[in-house]
Amino acid sequence: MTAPRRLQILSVAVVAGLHLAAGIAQPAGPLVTATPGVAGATEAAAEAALKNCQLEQSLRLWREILAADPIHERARFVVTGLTAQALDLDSHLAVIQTLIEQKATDDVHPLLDAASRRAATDTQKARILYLRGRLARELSQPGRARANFEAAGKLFGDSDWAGRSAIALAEMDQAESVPARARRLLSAVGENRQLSASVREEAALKLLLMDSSGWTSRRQVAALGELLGDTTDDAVKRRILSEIVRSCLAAQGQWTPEAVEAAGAILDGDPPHAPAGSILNKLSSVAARSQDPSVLDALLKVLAEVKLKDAPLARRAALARADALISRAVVDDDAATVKRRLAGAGEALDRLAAADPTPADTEQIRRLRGRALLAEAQKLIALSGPAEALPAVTKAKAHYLAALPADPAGALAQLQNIGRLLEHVGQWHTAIDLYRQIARQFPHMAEAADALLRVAEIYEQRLNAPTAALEVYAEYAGRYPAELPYRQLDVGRRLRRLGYANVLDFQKRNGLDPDGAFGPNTRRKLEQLEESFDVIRLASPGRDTGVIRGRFVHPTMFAIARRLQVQGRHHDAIRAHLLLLNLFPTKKQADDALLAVARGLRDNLLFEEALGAYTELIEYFPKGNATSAAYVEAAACLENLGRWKQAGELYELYLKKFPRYRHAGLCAARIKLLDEVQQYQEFLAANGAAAKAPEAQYQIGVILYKRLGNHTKAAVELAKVADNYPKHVRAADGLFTAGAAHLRTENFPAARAVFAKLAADYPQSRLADDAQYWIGHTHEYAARALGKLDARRIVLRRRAGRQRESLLADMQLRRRYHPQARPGEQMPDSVWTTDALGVLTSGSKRDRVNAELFRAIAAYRAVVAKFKMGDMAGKALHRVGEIYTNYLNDPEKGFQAYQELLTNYPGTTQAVNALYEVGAYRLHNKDFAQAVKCYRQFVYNYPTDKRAQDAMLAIARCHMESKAYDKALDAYQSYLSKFPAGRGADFAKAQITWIRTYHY
Amino acid sequence: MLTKSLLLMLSLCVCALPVTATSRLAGAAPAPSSASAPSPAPAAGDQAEAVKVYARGHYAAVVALLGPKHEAGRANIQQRLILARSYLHLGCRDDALAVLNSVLAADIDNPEANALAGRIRHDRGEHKQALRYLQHAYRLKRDPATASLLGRCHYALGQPVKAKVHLEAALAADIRDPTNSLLLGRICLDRGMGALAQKYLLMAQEAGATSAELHELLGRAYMLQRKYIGSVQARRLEGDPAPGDIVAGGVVLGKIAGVAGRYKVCTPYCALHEGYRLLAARPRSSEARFMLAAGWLAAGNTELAAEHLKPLMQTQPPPPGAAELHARLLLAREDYAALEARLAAPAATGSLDRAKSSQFYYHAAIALRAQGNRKEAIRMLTKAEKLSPTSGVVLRSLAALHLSLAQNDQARQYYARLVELFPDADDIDQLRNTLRVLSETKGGAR
Repeated sequence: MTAPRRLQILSVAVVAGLHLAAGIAQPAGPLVTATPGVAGATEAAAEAALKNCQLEQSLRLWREILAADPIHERARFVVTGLTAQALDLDSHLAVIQTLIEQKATDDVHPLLDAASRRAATDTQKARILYLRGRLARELSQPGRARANFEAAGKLFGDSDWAGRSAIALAEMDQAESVPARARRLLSAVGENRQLSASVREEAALKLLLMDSSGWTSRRQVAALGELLGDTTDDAVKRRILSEIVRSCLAAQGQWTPEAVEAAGAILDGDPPHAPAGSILNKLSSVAARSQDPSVLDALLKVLAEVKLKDAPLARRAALARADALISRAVVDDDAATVKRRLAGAGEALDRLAAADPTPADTEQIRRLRGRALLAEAQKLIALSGPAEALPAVTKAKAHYLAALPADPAGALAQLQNIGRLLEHVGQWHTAIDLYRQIARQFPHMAEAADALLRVAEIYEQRLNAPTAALEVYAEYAGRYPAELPYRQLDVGRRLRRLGYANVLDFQKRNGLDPDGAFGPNTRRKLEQLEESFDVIRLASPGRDTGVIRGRFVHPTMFAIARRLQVQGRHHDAIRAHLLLLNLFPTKKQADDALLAVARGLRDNLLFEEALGAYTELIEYFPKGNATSAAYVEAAACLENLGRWKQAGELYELYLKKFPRYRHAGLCAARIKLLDEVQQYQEFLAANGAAAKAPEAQYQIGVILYKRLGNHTKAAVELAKVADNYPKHVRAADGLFTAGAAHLRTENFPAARAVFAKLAADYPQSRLADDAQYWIGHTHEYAARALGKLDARRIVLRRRAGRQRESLLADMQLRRRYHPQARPGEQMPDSVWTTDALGVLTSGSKRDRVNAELFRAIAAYRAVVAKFKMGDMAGKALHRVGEIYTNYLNDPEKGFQAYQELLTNYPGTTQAVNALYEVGAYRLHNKDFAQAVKCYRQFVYNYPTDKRAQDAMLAIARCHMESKAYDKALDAYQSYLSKFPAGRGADFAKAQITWIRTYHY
Repeated sequence: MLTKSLLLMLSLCVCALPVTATSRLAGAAPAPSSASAPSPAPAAGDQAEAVKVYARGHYAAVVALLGPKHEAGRANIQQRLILARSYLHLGCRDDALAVLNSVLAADIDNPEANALAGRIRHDRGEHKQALRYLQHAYRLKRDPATASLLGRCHYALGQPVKAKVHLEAALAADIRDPTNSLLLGRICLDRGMGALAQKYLLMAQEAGATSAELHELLGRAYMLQRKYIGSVQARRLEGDPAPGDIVAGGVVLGKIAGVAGRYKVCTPYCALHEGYRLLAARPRSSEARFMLAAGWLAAGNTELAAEHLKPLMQTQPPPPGAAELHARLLLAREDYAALEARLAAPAATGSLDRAKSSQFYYHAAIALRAQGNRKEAIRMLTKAEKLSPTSGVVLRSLAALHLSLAQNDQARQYYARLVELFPDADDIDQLRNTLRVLSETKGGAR
């Protein structure tokens, strides 16, 4: 309740007291009638006076009656009441004055009228006139105000209230820009020795304020300080101090130590409750908000010294001091001092808590304790690091969790702040603990839903723990569903599900009174309908209202699963997709998830399990977007399993079901090819030892490789040629193609193994040097992909060995799709690589890249060493040069490789490149003569090469660099004669002009 | 004429009824016995008479009436079907099958004969043969009863995908049979599809199924979906219900502090609720205890969780998942000594695998560190490190903790390991820098 309002109520009480007369008058009838004769006439007169509010006259009469009859009850009652009232007129007027000062002017007029009827002394009458003037001024009636003030001055010239009226008149004059009159009035009051000191000092203050209105704040404060020394009245002193505070604030725009000290001085003289409360409010605000150490120090000093007799005010001062201590700690830079100050604040709060505080104080103490804990946590994080600060954060967390029932909004806001603070300093797990605690303790609140979601986001985005994130998302979806199952829907949705637009529609169509209200009849009818609609018998109405809805999380979960798949974490990806299917089987991502599961199994060569997943997809989502692809991919799995007939049947089924889909042509072609493969297979089965058997085996592999594009199976089948028929002419060919097939699947280790076998077992084969070259190529390619060495990036599929191991070991998952699944892999392990990029070898990425490059060089060198006369030797040397020059940043060694190439294999295609590269190397090393030689040789030998132009320009540049301008001129001219419209023609012309201008 | 047509209609209705239904009819009718059975029907023995006798549930009489006629090869297909049904009611499957074979020999596309033959084979456990008959019957007539049988055959043959498709078809046509939805729920549950399992199991419940098995399956479906307590609402309740009381369908989780008369109540669609229902049906069910323990732990009531977990941990060996739940409970209760003992327990008492144990040690260490007990946190982290020596989070925490305690040598070792193990880490430069500073300077406590 505001102060003016309280005063108004008090005034009403006063009025009620005045109207006691009326109250007293009520029972007068029977009492008076009981008294006979003269006494009766006196009583009647007394009653009449009472009725007319002539209270003093009435009192006199009643006293006479009481003197005559001491046991006269009515007289005793009225005299007691009226005496109290008469004596209380001054306090009544004080109340009215306060009301006016507080601008609570409603209904003050009757009060003043009543008071004026009672006024007996000149002082009271002067005061009433003064108050009437003040009231009129407040009500914007300046004429009436002035009249009253002037009347007070004229009728009661030397009274204090007349003096105050003069001061009020001066204020009005000043407001009306008549300063001379105002000054004269104030001077007159100040010089009137018959007035009390307080009035004269007040006039002096007003005069000073009026005179100092154009002064600087410093001068004004100095003058006020001087006046303060001469002032004796406490109230005026307080006003002077208030003016000092105001001046300081106006000058600085914020609290200064001087202002704080002045405000503190106001409290020194044990001021009345209201002004003291007002000052304490201001100081509390400073304590809570100020970040200026000097202000806070001054405040702490003031609050330590202040001695207030009023207990509530003293408590408020103590609270403000605790607040100021916390604020001072916040701006401290030393951890020990911070702790000391906060401990001081804690002790102060403990003392306050022990002193039987009011509920409001308890709330304030709780708030300040939380603030102290939070401040400690924040300061320690900043000054000593998170490890030191965590206990303080934990205490703050416990404090706000305990405070949550009492102040849910405030405590939750602070808890969220703590969570953000923990996140800010990277204490993710501690933040997760906090959020989980909120979610566990207050699951019925929306904030709990947010907290749980935040946990999931931290796992996903900060801790790189997608599987943990998925678990939390699942829990979130279970606890805060984005859409409720039918049984948990509200009435509106229940009606809509049954085909009704709303309750009114339902009532109209079911013969109910259409009032739009969901009354008992309507409810009963709806339940009947639901009962008859067997599928959807609902729980009792209203049971599940108020369930907190959450966000849709299935798109996020699907995205996480996709990411896992791309990262090569197949097992985790499959589990993530299965979780999605488990929770959201009707969402549009469900069939994609199942397809991803099938593909994950297929990519790990678990073809039987993949088939199970594809079958499930085909059966569960017959009309899904991904279903047609499932047919083709399932058929490919069957190919890998060697079940050619079933694969063909599946392709046929595809053609039958999706004759216009994009894979129709592919299926038709494959059906024929599978027939062919089947025939070879049958031939092999029947004639395994026949002379044509190796050829049949080879043809199966070739069909798979070249025409079906099934490289995994092709590698297996082609390797069989060498395994089963090592002497056959197709053996080396088979091995080489098997290696190529492995390369297609980016299975570098397997490809290297096959090529190495070919190079070792069939060194005389025409493919042996190729095989050795490709070994080098796999290393080089892996290094380029891993180190991102080329401008155009090589991106390989990612695979994780541990994930494959865990997938193979997850028999529960595998048997879900293939009940006969056995531990271990289905295909030879060599077919599946775990480490195409060598990521499992130790060392940094740069080390791994370099190691791969050196392995590549070694392999290329082996080509040159073992197969000197082969067609791959030149290529190998060229690659060695390229690796040194482009990837290992060692052009010297690259140059050596090129030189070796030019020396030993000058007629090869690679020699062209080598020659050009050597020229570039010489130019780079400023060996211009040799560079010119190389480039000339290049132009002479390969005049049609697209780099011939560059070579001729390079020759000219070499001459320019060696300042052989005549030769340079010749070189540019010969370039122009050969390439008059070449891309360097303009440049050549300019150079020619320049040489002619400056050197001839 | 009218009577004849009525009888014909009745015969058709009877033939269309499934055996179970007719059995119920038979149960309602006076039980036929050799003593009380009426004497064989009149010599006329025409089809109408046979239908009438069959409808009365006098199957022996039907056999007596039509058997000789069938033996003599004079019974028509309709009469043979009635005879086969009567044999079936009398439990003479072989005779029924012989009669049905004769029908199929005459009319291989008779849907009823195929369906009945399939049913008999299915009842005998000859699912592959049954499948042949039933598939043919279903091709001829899309009958929900046949679809249901087909689904059961596929399920018995380990073909849950096809089983699901047929059972769904049966359910779409006739929702009243809870066994279909129950089996569908079970299939979905086996396939790890919790939401679908929940849907079918609730349909079974709505169709009148009430059994402990249903509660168990429902509970599992909820557990699979992580609906340990599901949605929680703040409700105003009369009286003073205790946690675990089932009020208005939901389970009371506890009072809401600071608000008189308001309680946290969880939805009935959760494992906690089903756990209570299962426990009421099967008081010794460990599955129910597990659901309740998981539910109460999710609700943050560790006392009740411990109460339900205790009997589980006393069984030898504890059920799967109980050890992990127990460890989570101890972590929630901040009873780190007991947690250590649990993690160190031998396999017979339900130990956890290395990765999970390491995680629990790590979480305990994080909690201890948050409480300011850094030395104890280091001890826990060291245990976690032993179980998973290459764990990045464990090594990072150890490094940071040693650094904060000014134990620079140990901190340096851990930073060196981090740099060695994670050369491609995002913050590798920061790790290297810290390592370099630690190597160069003495002290360095933060």
